[in-house]
Amino acid sequence: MNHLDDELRVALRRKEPPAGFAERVLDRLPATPPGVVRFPSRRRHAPWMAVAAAALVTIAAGSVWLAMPRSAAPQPHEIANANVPPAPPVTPGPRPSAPSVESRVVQPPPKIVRIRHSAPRPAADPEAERAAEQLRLALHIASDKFNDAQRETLAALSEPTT
Amino acid sequence: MKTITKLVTLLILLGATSAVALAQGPKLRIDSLDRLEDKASKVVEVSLDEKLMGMAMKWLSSAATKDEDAKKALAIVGGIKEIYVRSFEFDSEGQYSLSDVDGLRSQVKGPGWSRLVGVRSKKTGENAEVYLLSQGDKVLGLAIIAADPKELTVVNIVGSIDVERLGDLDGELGIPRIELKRDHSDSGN
Repeated sequence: MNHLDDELRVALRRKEPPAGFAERVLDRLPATPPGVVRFPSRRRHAPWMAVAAAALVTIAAGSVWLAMPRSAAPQPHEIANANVPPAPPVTPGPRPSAPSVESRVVQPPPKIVRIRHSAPRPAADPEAERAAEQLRLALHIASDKFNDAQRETLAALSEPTT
Repeated sequence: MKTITKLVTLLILLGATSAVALAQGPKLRIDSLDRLEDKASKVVEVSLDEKLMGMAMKWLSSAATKDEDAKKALAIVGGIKEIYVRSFEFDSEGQYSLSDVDGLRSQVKGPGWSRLVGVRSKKTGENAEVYLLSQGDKVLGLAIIAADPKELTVVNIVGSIDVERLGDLDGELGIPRIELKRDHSDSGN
């Protein structure tokens, strides 16, 4: 039994690798390890491109906003200026006090009146609209026949009796 | 005893007749005229019961919110509950019988009905009658029967209406204002 132990101990003893073994192993390994993704190196001018893109978007948005037509309704300050009579020509002399105050009185902005070009349409209800049309027709016929009867009666009454 | 029995029988019959007349109410039976559709060249039929009248009045009211004249017109017709119209135009005379008209007239001769306007022209053959059903000062219904040689028109209105202003509705509420000129040259019989 001891003989067997000694043999196992000798067989399993640590042995130093031969010279150049590590180099030979590394040579056999692939250049790029599998599963490793190589990222491109960071470009030094990328931040500048982002800044430029942001500036471009801002300029474009600003130009679009400036190009939008302004509203037709005059602004309060515009109304005030429109109502103010043109300032008198500047002449040397004593400065008028009261007239300038009067001319600078800001008129209250006019009431904005919404003009409806047509009467507000009632809620869409085809059946009710049809019934309304039928009612109009019925009333027209009734009114027409009533007027006819009245007219005929008056004509009969106005005929001279012999 | 026999006299009393006769009187009681007469009263019962009178009461029954009145009850029938009142039970009929302002709505006339005009369905019998529907058989004239086949003979007529033009038929106008309008039947608006209480439900449809309500819808129509509501629609017209909402469409006339800013029109003062329309509001006044609505006030004239606001009490109408039902309205029925049958109008038949024929190409030739004699397409309907007098019994058709008499059947209508019998319905407006009951208690409560009174004739407002009645004119018959022997020259042109045109007849026009306007009947009103009232209970005291309250108008319950209106009937217009216009019987011309080539045209028969019946209008039955259930409910209250300002009769004096009925003829002023043309041009209001979208009702066309048309001046109809009677051509008496082809109807003189």
